[in-house]
Amino acid sequence: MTCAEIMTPDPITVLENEPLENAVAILRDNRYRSVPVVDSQGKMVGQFEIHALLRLLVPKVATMRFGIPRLPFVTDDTDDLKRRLSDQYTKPVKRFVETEYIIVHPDTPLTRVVLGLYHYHDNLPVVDSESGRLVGIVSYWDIVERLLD
Amino acid sequence: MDVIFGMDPVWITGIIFVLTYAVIMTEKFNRAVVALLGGGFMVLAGIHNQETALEGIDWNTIGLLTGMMTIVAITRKCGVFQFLAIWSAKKVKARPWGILVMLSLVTAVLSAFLDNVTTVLLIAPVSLLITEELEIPPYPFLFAQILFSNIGGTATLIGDPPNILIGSLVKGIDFNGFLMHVAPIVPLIFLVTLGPIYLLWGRKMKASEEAMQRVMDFRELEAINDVALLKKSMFVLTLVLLGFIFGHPAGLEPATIAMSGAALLLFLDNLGHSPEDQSERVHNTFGEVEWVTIFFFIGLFVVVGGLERVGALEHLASKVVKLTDGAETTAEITTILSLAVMWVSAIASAVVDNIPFVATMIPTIKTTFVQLAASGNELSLEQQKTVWWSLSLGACLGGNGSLVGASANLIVAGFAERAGSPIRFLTFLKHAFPLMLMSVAIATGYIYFRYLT
Repeated sequence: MTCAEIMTPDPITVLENEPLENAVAILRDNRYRSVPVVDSQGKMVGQFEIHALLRLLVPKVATMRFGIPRLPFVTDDTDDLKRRLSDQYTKPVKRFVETEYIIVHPDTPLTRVVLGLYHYHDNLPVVDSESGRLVGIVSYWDIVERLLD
Repeated sequence: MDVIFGMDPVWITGIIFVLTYAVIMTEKFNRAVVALLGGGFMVLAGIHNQETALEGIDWNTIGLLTGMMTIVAITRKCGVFQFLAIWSAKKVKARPWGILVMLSLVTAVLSAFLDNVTTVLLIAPVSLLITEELEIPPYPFLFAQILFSNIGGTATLIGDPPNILIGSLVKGIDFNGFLMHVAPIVPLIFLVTLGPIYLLWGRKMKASEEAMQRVMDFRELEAINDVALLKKSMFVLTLVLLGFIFGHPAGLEPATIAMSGAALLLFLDNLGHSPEDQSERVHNTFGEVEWVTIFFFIGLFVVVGGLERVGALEHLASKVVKLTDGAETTAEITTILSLAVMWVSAIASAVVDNIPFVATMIPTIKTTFVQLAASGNELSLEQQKTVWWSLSLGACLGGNGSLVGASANLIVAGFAERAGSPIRFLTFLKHAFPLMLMSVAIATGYIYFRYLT
């Protein structure tokens, strides 16, 4: 069995130049943890992950190497979080995409797909090998559905 | 000496030395690896055998560095340094220029007693946090921290690697020597350096009331997450400091004091933990020691030891002696040597890492003294010390001349880059080099009027 048989074709995507705000809305509306970001040709640019949003909500040093990981002395309220996000909200989403993620192809064998899901902990974009275009998405629910069939 | 291919030992040593230092300067390869390779070539080429190579390593320097790094690795876990930085920022009501001055002061004082790299690793993140909350650019803060970590480090034997080297390799120079002869000028350099920083940036710094309130809302006590560890660390740090002040003159070497302190703090930190737990904790603590720096020193000592062994430093020293040809008294010789050593060290340390420079200068200056004595111009112990103080001031302050002048500079630059406000090499040079010259000029005046007139 290959990826093409279990994937969901034509997934929800965000265009790379759309503002961050739109990407955040898609995550919220669909309760997604990530959404693929594509260019005008439909080619994969990266994944916008909920973690990227969370990272924008805290001071930079908290998420830096050799930074201050716990920030025990900072006391924020939601206004502080909104303030940190406000400058970023209108910037294009491509600035915030994760470029290290696992992709699969329509002809990727099932085991590799399962392993990909296992390692990435989230939906995998399915990319056409030749054109680089996003053709589908495969989630762990797709696997679970098959098991219960 | 059985040298490879029957080559001239001075030549082959010179080639290995120059190559090693040249590759270190390119910064294309890890400096510890390059220094170790250089050391390895010295042995393989027949300049050293294993025994002489090991004799060249100054274990006092290695022990002092490792001991202090271990103590700091444990102490920093309790959060006391972050507490100190935030507490000082709140003391000035979170006003930007006040914070810059306070963080500079904290940096200078801490780096007098801790390694400079460690100091900036502790303070730079707090500065980034505060400037982000105040919505002002972090550059002036980070710039000041680079400068003041090197300036503060100049004050004590343990503050900066050049001083550690001088304190370890030169007989008759101890912890209190630095306190009495080098430290007194540091506060003046600190104050004078703040002036241009104020004119360039300080007077224009402004943050909104709301932003300053955010910093005032920091709960600095929360930074201290282990009160028991804080007490243990402060106890051991105090003992070690007392050891340097009273133990060193009584014959206890710095490495003994630092390593014993490290062992004691490791013991206290692991008290009450299961043996398995202890293994992991000790492993983690040792993992935080900067082995790159330690192995860099080891490699350099072997390389410089090779130069000493073949007598290459005699040539260098005789060139230095020539400088003093016109001098008629030992006082004049001391003046020429001190000023030349200070300015050459300052300029050289701005261009290359000051550690390898000082590691080579120390044996060269020692040989110079021997040659001078042989020609009837023996410098007194006090006169010799004046030259050593000049080397310390020149090499430590020179580290401020450029971004590559000292390791701490590069660490801060790396931070700034990751935070999205990179420090450019030329920008830094433009601001820092004149300030470095100014600080060395002050140091020159100090040495001249205190020791040379």
